[in-house]
Amino acid sequence: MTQQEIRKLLGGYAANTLTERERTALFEAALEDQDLFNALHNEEELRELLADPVSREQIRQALEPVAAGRRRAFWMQPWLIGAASLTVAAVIAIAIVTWHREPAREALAVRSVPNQVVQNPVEPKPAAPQPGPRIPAPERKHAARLAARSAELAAQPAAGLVLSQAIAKEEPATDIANAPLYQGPLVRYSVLRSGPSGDAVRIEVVSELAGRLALYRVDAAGQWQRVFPANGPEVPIAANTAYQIPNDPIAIRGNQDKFRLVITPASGPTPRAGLAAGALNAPRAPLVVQITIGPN
Amino acid sequence: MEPISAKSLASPKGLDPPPSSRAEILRQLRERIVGFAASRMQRDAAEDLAQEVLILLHEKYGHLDRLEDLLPLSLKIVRFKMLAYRRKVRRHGEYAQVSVDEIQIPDGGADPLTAMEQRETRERLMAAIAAMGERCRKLLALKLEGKSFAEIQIAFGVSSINTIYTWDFRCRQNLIESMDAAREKSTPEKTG
Repeated sequence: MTQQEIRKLLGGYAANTLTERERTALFEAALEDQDLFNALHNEEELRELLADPVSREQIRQALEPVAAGRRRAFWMQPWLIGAASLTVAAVIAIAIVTWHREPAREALAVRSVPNQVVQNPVEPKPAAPQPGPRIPAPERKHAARLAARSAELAAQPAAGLVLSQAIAKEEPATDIANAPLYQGPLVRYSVLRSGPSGDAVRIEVVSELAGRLALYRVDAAGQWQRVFPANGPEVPIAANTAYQIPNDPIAIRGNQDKFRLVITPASGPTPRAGLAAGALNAPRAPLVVQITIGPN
Repeated sequence: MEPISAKSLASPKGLDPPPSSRAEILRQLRERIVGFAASRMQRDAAEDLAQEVLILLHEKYGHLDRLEDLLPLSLKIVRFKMLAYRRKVRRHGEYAQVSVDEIQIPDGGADPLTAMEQRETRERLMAAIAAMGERCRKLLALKLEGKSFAEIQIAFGVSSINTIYTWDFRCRQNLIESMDAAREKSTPEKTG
């Protein structure tokens, strides 16, 4: 086995990307070669961490800035786009209001001069204090409408942001173990198998309700542990959209590996059409769907 | 501890895997484990450790006879043994034999000590990742996305896949060395 072949196999060992044949070849070589055996042992700690879904998710998150940076330039950051949108909307609103007031003032001034000439041809009286420029009623209404519309436009992204933050802040209050199980048309799922023996799975979920999504798994002690998202708030989801979770397949244990999908419907009407679809007139209690998966 | 020959462990409890192949695998495994352990501890302790690994393979995993099962299992047992050994060193300031009963291969239950050690290892890994260069971070991220080496080669736009193997090898070496260095800061590796 060449040095490069050994490096290739060792590289795939910790990340668990080797085929059965490659694994066998690696082990056979390690049995004969002390250095390779030592190298394999050195990889063991890393391999165990990468095999653990919690650790793997943490590592993935630690590497996230790299992945995100690769896909999205700085000027494409959502917060920057949001702030820029607000600024642009505010500038437009001010410009519209200012633009509609200026012509009105000018029109008033032009009209008032001939009046003064006619009324006071010889001895002009000192001008009486003016209450302020008079804007004709139709123009005033139009400007007010435009200003209101601009303010509405400017407020929309902020409302969306507030909603996202509100969703993100809400803590799951569901008793997963004792929650009634939901069986109905609002939640559909399918199990996506991968890996050499099909024992690595992901779940594709489509909910007719917008809200928040989480996936739990029962551990050896019979306790429900959240596996997606591994930590942090539950993930906001839109209605009638397919989501594949978790990001990395889960290795199935035993014959009856139990999972529970928990969908907490969004509370109250939302200003965003995408999230709001299906949220109104919908149940508010979390929908808990049990999935039992066995070996392929 | 008196060494037990690998051959005598070959066919435990009346199970009947092909004795010669199992015996041969165990013999070679013992040799490799002693070689590895001797690089981390005294020779006597290394031999004892290898012996205990073989006993465990005999008593609890007598039904396994394939290399693909025995070798990764022995790596795992050796790792747990080494951890237990370090614990003893840390607790008593001495090294001593680690009883077979202390070795707990994970059964899905939560062993607080193991969980704590796993958490510490994870923290060391996270610190090592934070110190990694941009290329290594990108490479690891792509591997975690499940990309093959060929796909990673395309992502990096390099002409030879061997370059990727070499980068990956160096990155992992650095990562493991950083983790080992962090561990050695907190625990004396070799005593006596």
